[in-house]
Amino acid sequence: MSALMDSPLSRPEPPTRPRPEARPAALAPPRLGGLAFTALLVVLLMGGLGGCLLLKTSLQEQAFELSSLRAEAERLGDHEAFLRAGLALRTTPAELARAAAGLGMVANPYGAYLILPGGQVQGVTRPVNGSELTAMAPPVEPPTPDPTAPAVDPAAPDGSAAQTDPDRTAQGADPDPAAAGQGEVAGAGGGTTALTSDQTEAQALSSGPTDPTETG
Amino acid sequence: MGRRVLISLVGLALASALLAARSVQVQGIDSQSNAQAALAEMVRQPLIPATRGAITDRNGEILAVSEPAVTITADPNIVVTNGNDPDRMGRGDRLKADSAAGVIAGLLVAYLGGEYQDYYDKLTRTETADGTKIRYVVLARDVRSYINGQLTAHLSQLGYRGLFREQSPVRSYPNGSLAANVLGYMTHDDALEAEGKFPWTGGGGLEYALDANLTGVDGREVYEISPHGRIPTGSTVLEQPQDGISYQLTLDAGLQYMAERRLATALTETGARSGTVIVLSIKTGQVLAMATNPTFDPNQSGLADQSVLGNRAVSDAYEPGSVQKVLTMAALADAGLVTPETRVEVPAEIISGDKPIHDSYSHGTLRLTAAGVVANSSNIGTVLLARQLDKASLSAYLSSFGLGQRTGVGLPGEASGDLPGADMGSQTRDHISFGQGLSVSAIQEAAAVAAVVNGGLYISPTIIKSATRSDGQPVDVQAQTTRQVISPEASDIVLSLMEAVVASSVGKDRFPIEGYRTAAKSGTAERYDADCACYRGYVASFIGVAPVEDPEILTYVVLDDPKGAIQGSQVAYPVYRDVMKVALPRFGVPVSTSPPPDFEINW
Repeated sequence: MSALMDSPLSRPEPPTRPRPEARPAALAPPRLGGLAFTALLVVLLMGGLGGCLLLKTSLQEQAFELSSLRAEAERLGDHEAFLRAGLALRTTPAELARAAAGLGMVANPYGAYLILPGGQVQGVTRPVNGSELTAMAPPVEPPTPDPTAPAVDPAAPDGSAAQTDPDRTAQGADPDPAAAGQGEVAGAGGGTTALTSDQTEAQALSSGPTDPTETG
Repeated sequence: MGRRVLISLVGLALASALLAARSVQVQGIDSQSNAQAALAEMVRQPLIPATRGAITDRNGEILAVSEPAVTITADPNIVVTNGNDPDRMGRGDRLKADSAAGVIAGLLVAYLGGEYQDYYDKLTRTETADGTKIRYVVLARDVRSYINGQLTAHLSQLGYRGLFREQSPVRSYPNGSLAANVLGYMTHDDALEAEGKFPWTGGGGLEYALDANLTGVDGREVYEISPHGRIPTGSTVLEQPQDGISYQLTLDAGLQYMAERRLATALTETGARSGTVIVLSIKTGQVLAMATNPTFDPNQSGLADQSVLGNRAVSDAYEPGSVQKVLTMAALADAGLVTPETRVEVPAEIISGDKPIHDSYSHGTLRLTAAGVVANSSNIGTVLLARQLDKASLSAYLSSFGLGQRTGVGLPGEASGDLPGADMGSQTRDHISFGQGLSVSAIQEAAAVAAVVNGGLYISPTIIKSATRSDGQPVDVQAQTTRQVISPEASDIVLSLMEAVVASSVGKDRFPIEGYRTAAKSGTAERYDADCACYRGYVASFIGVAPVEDPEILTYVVLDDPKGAIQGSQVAYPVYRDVMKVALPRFGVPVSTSPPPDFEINW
């Protein structure tokens, strides 16, 4: 059947029915109906508010997550930069030369070449006795202090000190914040809680348990 | 009932009227300024600083890099109350606040070093002498962000407030003084700081010359905030910062280190005021090492004497002495006036203008070949040969070799040197033929001699290998220029003359580089001293190339004013020798398989 046929215009006139008798309308809506309506309104309101609350909570959670992820990304980026800086310091020619000299290695200026294919050797290989390039040997004393390791305190009173172990701090965190604080003061003012150069070394080389933000 | 409705309606109407009036006031009157104030209140747009480009050596070894760092500041008034309202603190808050400065100072010592008392004083000084509250004090600068992150985490774990950070990336030179005179340094610009901009700019060397490209463009993040923080659904615009261009140099950090070490030793041993070593790749014009001494540590350039911050290899002009004979012979050979066998009768002295010219050793009349003249470094023989060439041609050849003009190596502060023109006097011509009466920079002389042995093809030297944008796209670097100065035949002749210095009966076993046939020339020039406007002291130098069969590496050593022994062959040669010994195997230059020819020195 076509839609045209279905149009209300073409619908046949409904059969006339006897007109119903007029009845007086109820004077007042039933009391129960009013209560139901109020309840409906309340439910709608509560539902709306609840929905809003849920939405807001979810948005806030996402915002928190976003900011914490951002902070984490920044922290990791900083950590990477810190490690790269440490690596760059350890791979400099000066550092390699010093390390090699420390292992008793000396430069060999006598190059020889293996020609491929064929396998003949060009140049004369010979052992060195260490007197060949002494004028290029690394200086005996280390040069300037490491500029990118500000955590090293050259004036640190002593080389042994507590590490900033987050667990230790967490366990030590007294319910009374002042107590924990005073403990820290005593450490800082007296024996010093200084991170030592060893500590810095550890930080540079690993993000292990000495890293307070790692587990904190 | 009707009364209550009426009162409610009137109340509502009044409220609406008030709101409407306020609305008219806000939006109708002063709408512009109100909107702006609202926007300023709502919108935050923090800068995202661009990262300065890095500088690496030819193998990617980092020479200069920017690292995330912060300036740590504090608000003492927050510290001493630990962020609480002083009137509403409980006993616990009070105790904690009293301990705050001590704990924070202790942690600062632990993480950053420094003096406990300094930190403590700064943290507890809440007012100036006249009673103004201090809300800002700088505790530490150039703290690596990672260290600061640890410190901050520790502080927040303990629940202390009042410390703040300002992003302030730090320029780091992990190799310390290595290639410092090439890299340059950063300076603090107070004017920029006053404008609230990042205050560090390139102050010397490549940091200065490439500053605009290295710097990049800061980005910003624009977002809306409410009193409760960032509006999650608000609009956010992120203008990504455009990080600076990174540069890769032609330098080889390893070779640079060895050249610098060797030069430092030489300065100690010879007492020279300063020295320069340049190692050049002959076929590409790339500078493989450029060492100068004295030098400085760019990490602490503020501590360095102003006089050591430049780059003597390009900025110092000096009279090159006998090394210049290589260029004189190149001009003569190209003009067809010299071969190794050309015969010269060398008298004990020769009059130039009104003064006699001598050789460095006294002799009677010698019968030398051109090879003998160069091997003996005879000034008289060189002058006699050079007099056959007209002055205009000599000047033009030297100019074509790059003398008297900047090489464009890419470093700032380049000297152009002084090259007499075609109108020079006869005495000047005589003098410049053996390297006095004209001045050159070390990089000029090195590039010119490289051209002589490179089949006569001059390649302008360069120290910048490539440049890369932060997105990885390559950026064009200044192109090198090339020109044919002398013929390949003339190049062979001069190379042979230089090999005579090393391998003839005169020089045999004096300048050996084991395994390689080399060609070289020493120089000992009288040193012009600007202080007395007179000649005082000497400039000792040595230049050489290897292998002779197909020259690849050139090393040039210049020592300024050595004490004691002053001959280039005595004091500069050992530096040249050691640098060559490590440079040749380092770049895989095959050892020589043929012996040097016999040279006729006398006739």
